[in-house]
Amino acid sequence: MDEVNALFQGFAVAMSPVNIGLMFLGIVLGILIGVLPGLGGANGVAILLPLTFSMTPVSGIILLSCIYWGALFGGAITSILFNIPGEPWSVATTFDGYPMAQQGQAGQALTAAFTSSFIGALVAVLMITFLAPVVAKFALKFGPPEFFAVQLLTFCSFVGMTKGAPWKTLAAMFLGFSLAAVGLDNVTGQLRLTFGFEPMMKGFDFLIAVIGLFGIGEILLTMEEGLAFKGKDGKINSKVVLETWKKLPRYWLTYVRSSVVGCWMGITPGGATPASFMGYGIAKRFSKNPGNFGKGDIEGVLAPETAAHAAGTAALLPMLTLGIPGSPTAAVLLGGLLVWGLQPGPLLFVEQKDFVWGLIASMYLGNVVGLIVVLLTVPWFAAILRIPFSIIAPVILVICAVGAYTVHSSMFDVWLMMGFGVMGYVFKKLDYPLAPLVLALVLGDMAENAFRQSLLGSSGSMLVFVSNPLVASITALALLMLFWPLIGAVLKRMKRDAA
Amino acid sequence: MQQEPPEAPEQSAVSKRTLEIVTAIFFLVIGSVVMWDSLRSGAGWGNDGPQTGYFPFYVGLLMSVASAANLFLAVRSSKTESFVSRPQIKLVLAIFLPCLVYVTVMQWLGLYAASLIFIAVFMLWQGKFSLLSSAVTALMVVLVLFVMFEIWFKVPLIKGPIEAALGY
Repeated sequence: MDEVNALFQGFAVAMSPVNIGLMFLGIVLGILIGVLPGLGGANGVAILLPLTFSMTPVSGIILLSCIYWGALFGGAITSILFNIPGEPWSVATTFDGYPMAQQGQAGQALTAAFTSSFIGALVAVLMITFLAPVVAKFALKFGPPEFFAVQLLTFCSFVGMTKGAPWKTLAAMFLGFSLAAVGLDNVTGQLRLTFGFEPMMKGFDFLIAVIGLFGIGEILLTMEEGLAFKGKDGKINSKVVLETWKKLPRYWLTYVRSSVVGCWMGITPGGATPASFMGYGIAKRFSKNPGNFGKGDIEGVLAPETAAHAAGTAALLPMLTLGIPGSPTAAVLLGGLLVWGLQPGPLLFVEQKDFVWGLIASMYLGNVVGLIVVLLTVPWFAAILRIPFSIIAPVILVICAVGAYTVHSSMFDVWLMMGFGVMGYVFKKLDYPLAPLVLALVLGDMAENAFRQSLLGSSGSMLVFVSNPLVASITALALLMLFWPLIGAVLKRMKRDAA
Repeated sequence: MQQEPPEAPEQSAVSKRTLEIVTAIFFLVIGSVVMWDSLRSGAGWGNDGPQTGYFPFYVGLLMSVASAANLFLAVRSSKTESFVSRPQIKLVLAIFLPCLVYVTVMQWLGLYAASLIFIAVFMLWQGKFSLLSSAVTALMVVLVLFVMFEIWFKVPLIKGPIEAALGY
């Protein structure tokens, strides 16, 4: 029961008045970010990261992770009331959420969405509480080959789990690795890919990439649609909430399925978005009356929300234990860890107990706070969306510019952000996935170091990645993931031929 | 936006296929540059282990292979889908071009003054707001930014002659 003791210590850390205050601030900011187009979990956290430089690591991570929870909650508001997913992971929520709002059941849909988000997160936090220390202890035995194999598995999973074109996933991923390689090589001290251009020497900061790709790119996409927000009212009262809560327990099995899918997709870097679609698909498949889905079935709201929130939360498990984030937002949080002078990885659980358990405790508290805040403030946030886009768009661009500038106080970064913005716009329209690009940019140096050290140990032989049962099985799993699109296609053809 | 959503059928500004090809070539060029630079700095096995370009070389190589596959698929496809229609690209440029001007102006006037002008002008021009409400909204946003960054969190943003004249 070490975990329980540690957790209570964590609660003691997280419960200080300052941290509770930051929790509320983070949740409110997060919901705002989730509601506004062009600001999402990843770039919202990226923009606000510089504000935490002067805080203690625990306070900083509490503020940022609560922004993340808030954004997860907030995405549902726009989906249900406006049929506009504020975040990619709430697309599946629009399928049944918006029809419910049209039928005058917006309150029920919102209550179901928020409560399910909360349950999904809670399951994932429970899993993190008990699984993370075990994984961390196990990972302490990892050497460079094992670490590289885990990285390989992370990236190969993107190829295997993304629905899109595998070649595009690969191209985007290697672009991320290339960008990570720019600048000073800290092993040999040589400059790479700088072409004598001075601002390139410090390399590309992934925060700039995140702000440009997700922020500017999203604004350009939103502009294209010539947005005229036409939404339903988000009235919610305690009677509706209680009535909806009474209905929810009968969907317990859906909750279990969605939570499991969510946790799995969060740990492996599937991410919240595919998790929400899978949660929806599975619920529909097992439903007694699948015909109701898409017409305003409450189950169609709670299934994707549970899965998305579970995945979003579970994405922090590999970040904390292995230093490998499961989602772009987790990657930004990892960037925060480095800024605060913490080395992400299994040693965190040994050396930074207060930080780790404070964070885990804040996940419990943050989600309780989030549920309360979001239920109380829905109408206000819905009102924000009635502000004309001709005000919101320039303000968000200004905020993005501020965020990009504050990272290194450099104008070059602001220009770079604009460049990434154009890339984000084009890539999104052509279905080049952005998550592997960002993760490769974040993890590039770590992956390369692990790779180099492994090869140094083996004097250049690639066999080091299959040299013991552990590393060999991780590598094998990675290769299976990498070739999954191919294997899947072959299996399909065999099935077709057999039929 | 105040504009009505563009009506179908729309005139396509550029086809999806064209942009797929351009993007694949963009990737291919970057991949080749990465390989070339890695070879320049040494992509082999040195006295003390892998050289600087060892890892990036393979990154560039695999990126080139992946983008060659994308290029092949794009060239072969006969899809005539539109990437973006003319009315749509007009809307996109209506925010992107002013934003480029904004970033340029920021270098001379500082972030606060540039943001003030950017927000006010965009509201006037695209939102058809009155001069007064545009100016007041922009001023409020800038003041909030100023208080938050310069005073609360003490994170300095880029400043120009106006702030200098005011004593900051």
